[in-house]
Amino acid sequence: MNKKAVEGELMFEYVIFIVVILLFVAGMFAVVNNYRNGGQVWTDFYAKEIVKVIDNARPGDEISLDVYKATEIAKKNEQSLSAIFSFNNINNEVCVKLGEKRGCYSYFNEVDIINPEIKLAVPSVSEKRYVNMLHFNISEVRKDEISK
Amino acid sequence: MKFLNRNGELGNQIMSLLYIFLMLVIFIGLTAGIFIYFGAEYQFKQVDADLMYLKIVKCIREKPIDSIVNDFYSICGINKEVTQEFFRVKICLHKDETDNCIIEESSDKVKFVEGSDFQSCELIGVKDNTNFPRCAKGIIEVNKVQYEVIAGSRQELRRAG
Repeated sequence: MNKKAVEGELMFEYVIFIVVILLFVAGMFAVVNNYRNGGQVWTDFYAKEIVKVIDNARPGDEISLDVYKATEIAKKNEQSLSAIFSFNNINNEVCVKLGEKRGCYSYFNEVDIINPEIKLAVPSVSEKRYVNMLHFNISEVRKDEISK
Repeated sequence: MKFLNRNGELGNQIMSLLYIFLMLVIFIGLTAGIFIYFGAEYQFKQVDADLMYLKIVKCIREKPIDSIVNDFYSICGINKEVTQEFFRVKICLHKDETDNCIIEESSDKVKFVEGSDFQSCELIGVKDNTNFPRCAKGIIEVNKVQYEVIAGSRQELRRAG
């Protein structure tokens, strides 16, 4: 009887221990998988770099940015092309979504972003290859919400 | 026999404690490694603060200071809500070397202020701590009058599902 009780206790401890290890491994796998193709890092990079361009811009400017890497990562993560970049003129916010989560960053420049569009396979003269470009215009504040 | 069993139990307990301790060390090590390798953010606060500083300097050079004092946001083309939420801005008159905009509170000298805790811009100990705001500051001269401008950013990327 005693032996069985001890064995039962031991089994219980092992089961708990294995469950804890499995939970930990699953959590780590989820974190690593999320970062695997650099989705989080590139989301961070693109959101902040686009905000830098907008903060430096003036109404009337036309902006074209090479976003090949972003489109490549979004495609790998099965994200829709139209959902990669979104501009919220009400909150002065740029959002980038390359994986499961999107990252948003605010620009202080009082301008609106209009006609955002991703142009695929645009020939790049300087790099002698085809790139995907994000194109948008800077205008005076109208406070319309535009999402692309 | 009883005595021997006690010794055995004690040994078992010590071994399980050691085992748990070892597993904890491995778990903490793995977690720390993963977050150090993947978790670093693209540091942008200093760039953000520099951009705000340059925008304000340009505004002071191009627009009359009285209109800036009265209506900073619309005159300089800066969004009020974003500035209030993520930035700190202070513009002071700079008459001599003893003036320090960071601690200045006199309404004669402070031309515009948004936000608080400008002292943290000067703390040397926090320069390596990315959680603290980053600041840009400088003195400019317009029409023979000197102004000290401070701009700080504490904005971080906001992640949502």
